[in-house]
Amino acid sequence: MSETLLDIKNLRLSFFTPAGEVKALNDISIKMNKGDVLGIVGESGSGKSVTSYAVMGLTAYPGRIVGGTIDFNGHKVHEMTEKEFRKMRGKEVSIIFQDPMTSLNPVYTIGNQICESILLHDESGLPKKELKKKAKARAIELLTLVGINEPEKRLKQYPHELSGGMRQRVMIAIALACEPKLLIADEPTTALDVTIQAQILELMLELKDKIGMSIIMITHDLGVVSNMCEKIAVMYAGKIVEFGSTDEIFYNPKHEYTKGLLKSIPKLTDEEKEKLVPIEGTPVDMLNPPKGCPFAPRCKSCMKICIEKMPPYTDFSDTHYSACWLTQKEEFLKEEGNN
Amino acid sequence: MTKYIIKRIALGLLTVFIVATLTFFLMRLVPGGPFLSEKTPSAATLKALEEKYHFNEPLSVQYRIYMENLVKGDFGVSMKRKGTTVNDIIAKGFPVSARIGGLSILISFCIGVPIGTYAAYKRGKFIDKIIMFFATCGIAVPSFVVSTILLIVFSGWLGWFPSFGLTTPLHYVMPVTALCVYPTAYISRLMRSSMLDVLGQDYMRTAKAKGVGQFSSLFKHALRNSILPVVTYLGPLLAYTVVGSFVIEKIFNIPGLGRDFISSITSRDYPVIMGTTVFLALLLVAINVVVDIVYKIIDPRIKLK
Repeated sequence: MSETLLDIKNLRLSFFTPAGEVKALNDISIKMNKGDVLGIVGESGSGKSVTSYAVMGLTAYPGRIVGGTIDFNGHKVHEMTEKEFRKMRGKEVSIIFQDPMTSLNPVYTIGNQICESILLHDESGLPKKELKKKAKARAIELLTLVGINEPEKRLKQYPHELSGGMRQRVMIAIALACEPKLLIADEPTTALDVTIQAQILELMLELKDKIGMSIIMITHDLGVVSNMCEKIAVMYAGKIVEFGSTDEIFYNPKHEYTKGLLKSIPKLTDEEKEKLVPIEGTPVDMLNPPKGCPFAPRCKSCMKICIEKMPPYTDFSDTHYSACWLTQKEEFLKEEGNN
Repeated sequence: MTKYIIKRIALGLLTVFIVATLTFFLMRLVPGGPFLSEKTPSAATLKALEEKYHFNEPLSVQYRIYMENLVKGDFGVSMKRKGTTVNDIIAKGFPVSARIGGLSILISFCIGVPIGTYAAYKRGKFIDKIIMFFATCGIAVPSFVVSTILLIVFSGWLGWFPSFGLTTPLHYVMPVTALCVYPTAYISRLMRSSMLDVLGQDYMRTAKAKGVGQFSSLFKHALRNSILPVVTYLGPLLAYTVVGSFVIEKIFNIPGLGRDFISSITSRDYPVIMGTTVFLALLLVAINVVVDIVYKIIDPRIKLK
């Protein structure tokens, strides 16, 4: 199971806006194996979605990859043309979007939208009539798979006739139509209420094992990640500031930003009057990013060097690394002590 | 659905009744009359005429008589063109105007929609700016100017098309073109702005993520969502256009209904004024019902109640 599925190396992606170049992704490297569930966490604008959209070639105008490579399932994604992307999207990699209320086309039936995905990537070469029959049967199968009752009836319904949770299930059905190798879930539960959230996440994990796919879970909800993911990438201002296994991130966070994030989640064991600790300050202006560590202006342990120079990554284990001068200092002192 | 249509037709007939009533009384409030001209007829003739057309009776009686005939489908007899019934005038003029009007609306729709879509797809690019420049010109230039230019160039200088009448297919080219310009320009602008809105929607991103191609994404996923404003505009426009354009029919000397409409007003030909107005109202009401049904077909979220 340790075959590499996705290998992003030193990816740089910028949006060329009239106000100037916005470096949305700055030297991102992510490696994912088959069957992995990777969580990408970070606040709005940190580059979570941009990273995953880049894998699908969905980067919105005026964004462009300016450096680095993306290898996915044998494709060199960074060199692919629109035509090649079209073949790959929906077949090898699928995505579920945040808002199921607006992500389905309101004027076509559920059946039409699921079948479209199946028909687009069909290679059986059957005559049209049989193909349509086959697609319909597959659509019913998919709806049953995602736990929608009366699938035959639902096929003829329009998105506005379904609830939010149902629509997200339909989105999942569309995404799974061609049994993709990788499913990108872009905050799939943010727009749903809490009970439905749990159901949808459960469903995704269940289907992951059934189909044998990998999942990238984009979220700003650490609770979601802790339940689902094996590995977590914490992003801030277009950089991965810390990467590690779920245990490493939750029990042994190294970056000040990760620590801040963990402090801002409410715990059931907390005393009643205990206050949550927010991370003070505002996200960086991506048009004029700071020279040093992007988190430095909000960091309580900021040092002089943090403002001047971007910290390199420090490895703590095979899977755990972070970019912070504080940990560099620890390493430095440790080495001093050894000598 | 059936209940809705019945309700709409009933409401429509009420509208037509109100239009007819208002027109009847407003028309009579305007000074002048059908028998007044430079050569005033003798008192005896006038009296005879007034009796013939019930002008000596009180207005309420005249109104009752007119309405009774209207319900029977009889629009009366023209006061200016002897022996011609209003039904005849409509039956003769409407097909001519409808052919020209219908053709021009069809062409406007077929050109305006793809052009607007294309401009939206290429938003901000040079081609978009070119299209929008011509669309703005098309809206700003009145049809009589377009007609005149067409006449000078294609009839006068080049001699390609006949300048008046409506006998051969060649005769249709210039009037239809002149009538097309404004709606085409307007539809392409409407289509562009509505399309731009739709292209930014989440479901367009979903379509792309499914692997849907550019063409299918535009013409399957986006078009059906963005065409509603065009349908809204097209309904009433169609009604107004098929009853004829006074300007175009005058310039190209086409025997359409549009000319009768205007000339009946200047000559106070009461039955013709009433007839053409009620006819237009009927048409508008009918087209609006059709537009509502088309809405429902295009967008299933719309509920007809």
